[in-house]
Amino acid sequence: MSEQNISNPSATSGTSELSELKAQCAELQRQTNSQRIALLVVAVCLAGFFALEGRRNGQALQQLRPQAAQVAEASKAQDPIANKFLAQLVDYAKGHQDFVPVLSKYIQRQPGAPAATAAPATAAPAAAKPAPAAPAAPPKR
Amino acid sequence: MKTNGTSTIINWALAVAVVALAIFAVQYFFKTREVRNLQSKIVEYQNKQQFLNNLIAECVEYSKRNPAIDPILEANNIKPKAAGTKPATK
Repeated sequence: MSEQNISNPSATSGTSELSELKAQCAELQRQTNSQRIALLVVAVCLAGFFALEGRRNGQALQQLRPQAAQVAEASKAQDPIANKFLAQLVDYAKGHQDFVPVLSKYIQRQPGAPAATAAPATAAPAAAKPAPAAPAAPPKR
Repeated sequence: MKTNGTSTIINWALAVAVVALAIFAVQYFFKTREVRNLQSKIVEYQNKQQFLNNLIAECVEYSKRNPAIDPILEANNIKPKAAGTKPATK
């Protein structure tokens, strides 16, 4: 585009200049439309991707929600029993030194060592904290 | 500048696509976050189970060498009560 013609329109009174400007304008409009279409295609593709992944996640959620509810329920019921059991083992280890190496493999793994001597009520995190040390690997989606 | 019909259509389509993109992206974000949360809870529970199973196995193994631990195992239903012994009263 000739900038001189735009900045000074009075100088372009001829019909040839006008037609040239019209052609340039039409060309710009065509380019803009092309870019909008490209943007539209990209946006549609991305929206489709997110919709598809969201749908897959929704299906996964339908399977995971009942499972997680079961896990929460089982954990709620099991935790006090496990903590009580751990506390009993800790008490037992106080009187039987030969059991200490067995128990220390599990109790010393946790960073909060005082839990080993804690009462069952306060030992709740003790059962949960050693969990990361277990070899079970998280399922990969 | 005169806007022709094609531009108008493209503009509207673009607007609709962008709005849909935003909605789907937000849905994707929240669903993905929930899936990860639930998975981490399940994995944590599995790890806890694994920990307890290992500990129980070691205790049972230890009880073969030292039966003094048997009352604890029996009280927690880990080991069946011996037939000849008196049932534990608590």
